[in-house]
Amino acid sequence: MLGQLGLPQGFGVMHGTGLLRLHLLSEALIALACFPISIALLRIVRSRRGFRYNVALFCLAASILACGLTYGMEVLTQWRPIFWVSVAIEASAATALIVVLVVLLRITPNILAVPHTLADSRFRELIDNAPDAILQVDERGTVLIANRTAERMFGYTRDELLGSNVDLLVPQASRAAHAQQRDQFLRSGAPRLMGERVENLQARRKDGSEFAAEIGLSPVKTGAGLFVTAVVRDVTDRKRLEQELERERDLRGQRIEVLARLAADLAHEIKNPLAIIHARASDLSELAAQAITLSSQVVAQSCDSIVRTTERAIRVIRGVQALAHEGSHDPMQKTDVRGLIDQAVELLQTRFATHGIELQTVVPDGLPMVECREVQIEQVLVNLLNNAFDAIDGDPLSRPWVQVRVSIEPASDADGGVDAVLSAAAVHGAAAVYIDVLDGGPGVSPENRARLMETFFTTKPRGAGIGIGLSVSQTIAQDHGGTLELMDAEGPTCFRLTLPVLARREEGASA
Amino acid sequence: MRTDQASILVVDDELELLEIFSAWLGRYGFRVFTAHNGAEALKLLRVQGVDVLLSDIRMPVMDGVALVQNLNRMETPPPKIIFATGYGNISRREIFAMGVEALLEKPLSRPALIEALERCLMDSADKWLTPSPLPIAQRILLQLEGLKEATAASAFSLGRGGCCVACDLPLKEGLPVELSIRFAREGLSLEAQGTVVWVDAEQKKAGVAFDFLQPECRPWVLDRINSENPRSFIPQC
Repeated sequence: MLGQLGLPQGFGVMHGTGLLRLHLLSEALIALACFPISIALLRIVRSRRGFRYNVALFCLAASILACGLTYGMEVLTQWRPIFWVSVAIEASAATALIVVLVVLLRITPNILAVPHTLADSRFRELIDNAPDAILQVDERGTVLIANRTAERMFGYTRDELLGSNVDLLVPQASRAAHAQQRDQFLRSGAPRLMGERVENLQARRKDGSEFAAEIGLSPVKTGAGLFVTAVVRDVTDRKRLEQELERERDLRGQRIEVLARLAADLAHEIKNPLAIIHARASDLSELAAQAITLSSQVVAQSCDSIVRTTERAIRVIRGVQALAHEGSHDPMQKTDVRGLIDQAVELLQTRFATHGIELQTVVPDGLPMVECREVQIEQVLVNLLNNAFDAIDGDPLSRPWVQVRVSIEPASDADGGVDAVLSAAAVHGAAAVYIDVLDGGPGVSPENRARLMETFFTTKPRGAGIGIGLSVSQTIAQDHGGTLELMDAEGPTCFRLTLPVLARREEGASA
Repeated sequence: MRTDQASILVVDDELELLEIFSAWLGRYGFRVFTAHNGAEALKLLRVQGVDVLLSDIRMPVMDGVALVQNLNRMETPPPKIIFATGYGNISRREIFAMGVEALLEKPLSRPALIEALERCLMDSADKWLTPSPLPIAQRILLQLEGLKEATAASAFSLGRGGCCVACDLPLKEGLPVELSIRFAREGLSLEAQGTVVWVDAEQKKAGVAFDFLQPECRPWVLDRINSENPRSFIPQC
């Protein structure tokens, strides 16, 4: 059979000389192309001796070389019938290809397991275990690499991330701006920058929720184009801590502010009692030294005065100690509102009196207890009273009075009257206690009203206050489940501190 | 003036102190009046003249400073004024310039109070007669052109109880000093011992209360004080 087919020239003759020429030219070109291809492959094998797929590459090079030779022989046999040589080469090419096929089938699963951009799985491991999300995107923002942390952080699987646009991870609202920024980043000769940090960003999870993020960007310029590696850190916890710290600082600042003012008053408040004690005691000792017989009544009177005055000085010191105390971690305790107000008033009344400002309290009997951190509420009250003081003291036209007025909710504000004794029914229904601090000062201007509770907003002259009192006081009130607000412009300036009343049964159980 | 004939008005918002001070002064022979604040004191002084006013500074309604300012505006010559205070944050300079003769710190002992009162009730002719027993810490030597020129140039100024001088010596409050100041034009010289009552380090000025005047300069100094009758006890210059 083979012998009957064995006239190779016949192929060419049958199809005419033009076709034969094209056929021979193509075969010669294929043969010629195969040689450099196999040489290139062999060069790779030689220079990368450790590469694990070298055997496969070698077989491939050999088979391509064999195929090249086969085509070469094809051309040669047109003129010289060395068919045995030609067939032998053909057979070796076939063998080499079969070997390549086998090797390829064996290593394909391994090759498929290699991540498609980063060949080194150790490196892959490294970035997967990074605490930050690591993403690499191309110029258009298409995600090329995403590590495991990125999956966890954003809630997408890697397959969902790869090939998607990075805008997926940006909140809807800031997407347009983000795209613009990215373009700008790339255009602005970004490759010159090594690692730009972008703080205060919002990122978006798959479920639509957002979190505070900080991003480090580093551009990578490669032959295949510009890539940007983004390292994303979830800073939610840090932000929260920062905020807590900030608040803590504000609170501390407020205490310092209050204390600084008290320190000045304290000298006076303590020196006066000391002067009395000193005078009484030195008088007694002087009279005794002169051998003057003192009636026991005189001695008792002097000693009573000394004791009384000492107690007064101690009360002042205790008041200051209470304010100096860091109260934000104190447990909430059932507290009597009257006691709170008395303490604040006690601390400040001398200063008010010294400046001719009348300080009144209107506290009805039978008030329900409130649950609070006493020191903090004390701080709020002292702050409100100090503000009232400043409002009046700084304004010659104001009427010199300040009133602390307590009422309960629901209370009718329309008549403005306050019951001296609350009815049991009223107390029972009370949800909250209102502590109003009213003053005869000039009031708060409409433009200041809006900004009043802002941190660092102050209308006081330089050095008199740094403007954190009200904002911190408001935070304290809110922490207590209450509010602090400036009441409507009608009538005198009135700040209302609302504190929720203890649940009845709780109070009843302890009573 | 003898203290047992003198009248005194004690002003303090601290009732107990008022009571003790009154007892002390009454025991010593003063005719004692009391007031709880500056306004009450002012009202009383309009109808009842006194020799000495002993006042607290920080008081409700009207404080000690406002009280003295009001008294200085009145037609009748004000009494001698002593401040007794527990409050340290006040400008001593202004207080003495207002005419206050002594600034006593609370707590205040009876002997210290009586001494201050006796000193300020002394007639000027009896004042500054005995040299100070304290060792002199600093000598202030100045050669000035003339009294008028020195006053105009803020280099020197004379008050009822001392003077203000411009000098760059390192002075401190309470320091015993010797003054030797020559006025070339008048051919006068002030030779005195005194105590520094305030220092203005920035302007290099100090207020000095006289303790002793050398006999040679006594006549012209007393003459000058009596003729000019300055309101300031120790002036600012």
